[in-house]
Amino acid sequence: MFDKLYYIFHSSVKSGFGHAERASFLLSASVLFYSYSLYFVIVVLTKSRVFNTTAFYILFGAFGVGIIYGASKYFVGTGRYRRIIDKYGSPRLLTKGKRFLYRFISFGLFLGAFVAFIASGITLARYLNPW
Amino acid sequence: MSIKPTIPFVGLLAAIFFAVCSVVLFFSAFATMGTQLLSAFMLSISIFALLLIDHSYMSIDFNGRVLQLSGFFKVRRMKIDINSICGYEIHQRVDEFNSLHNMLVLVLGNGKRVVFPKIAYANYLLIETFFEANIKFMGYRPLRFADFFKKWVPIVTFISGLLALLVALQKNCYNKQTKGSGLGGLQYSETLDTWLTAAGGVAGAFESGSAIGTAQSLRSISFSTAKTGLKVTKGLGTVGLVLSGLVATHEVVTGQDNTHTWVDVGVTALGIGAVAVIGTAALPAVAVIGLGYGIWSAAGGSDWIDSNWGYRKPK
Repeated sequence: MFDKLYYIFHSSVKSGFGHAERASFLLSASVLFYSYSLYFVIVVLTKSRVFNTTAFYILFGAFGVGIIYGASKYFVGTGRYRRIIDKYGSPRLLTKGKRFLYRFISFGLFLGAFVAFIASGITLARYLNPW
Repeated sequence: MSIKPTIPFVGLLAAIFFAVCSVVLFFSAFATMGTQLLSAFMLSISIFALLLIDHSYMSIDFNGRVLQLSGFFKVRRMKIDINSICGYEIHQRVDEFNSLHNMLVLVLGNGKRVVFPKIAYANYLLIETFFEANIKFMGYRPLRFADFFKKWVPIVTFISGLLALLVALQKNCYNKQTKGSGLGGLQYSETLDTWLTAAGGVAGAFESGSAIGTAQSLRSISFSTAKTGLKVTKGLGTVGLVLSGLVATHEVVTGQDNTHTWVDVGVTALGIGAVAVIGTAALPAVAVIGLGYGIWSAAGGSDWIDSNWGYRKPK
């Protein structure tokens, strides 16, 4: 599933300098912000407390850096992206319709991650400090 | 021939951590029977870790007839005549450091086995070559469900570590929070907010600069320079993005969030999205707009957004 997802992002990103890296970054940034949103939603749904300590922020940041670097290492560092392209075919050979669909999915997922982050963030803010 | 093991940083750190915890607990002013028992337990874990290191990270010396193995702390010492060795086996193993790999196991005449973990040696190929040349090969033992373990061992290790940290934090923070008043009792750290925002902005600006520099001089620079440029860009981009999420979370948790918080996140998302869609050609515009927005918002733009479209009264 992740391979296909990466392929969709790879096919959507404009080719050029650091193509594979940019695709990996876009995919991992989406996963990261969906994860943050999920955490916010869980806090609200379970009526939990939220940490406000340095350790929490370090962990929060380390998780983000870990996801982005992990994805980069997994897809680009190991050369997996080449095997994925071999498996699904070159993005250049995609039909116009398919390319449009992939772009729609990838940018939808990417922007959706930030929209989810903002929506869940506002929900959390309302739960913690109502206005 | 002599082969030295690597330094077991992770194992040593774990052993030191448990030893320090044990000493702190033992000499704690509030020490009870329970804490002293916990201290003894932690000390035993530390000793066990040290013995495990000694057992696994062995120096190998061979003088043509005798194979001499000595532990990392020289506790374990073995002198084995090459004629008394039955042979060696290759076992397939999975761990979070080397994923799926082969491990060498020496089978001695008395039935004992000596394991040579891959993590303990920087040049494992050297040991493999030595075994192949001097000792009889007794067989290969593949790991059952190898693909399953290969995939899930690193994931489970990572998630367990993360959960353990979360539980520790949860317990640590529980008593520090104001009971019954949500999070009203938490303090907002303006210094932390300012530093995180500034660091995120600087990282973003340098990221764009590095990307532009590398992309525009690709034809005139060497492959390694381009690779370094890409690494710097990736690092700064990661820092900028993560800090953007951190700043927003810090503001939400401390009740300082407002419309400007989400506009900042939106600008970051659009910047990254523009570079992905348009490609490197968008970098100069993204750099200028991003930096301009950062300076404007630090100079009072954020307050302006909040006072005009804010969902809560600006503080």
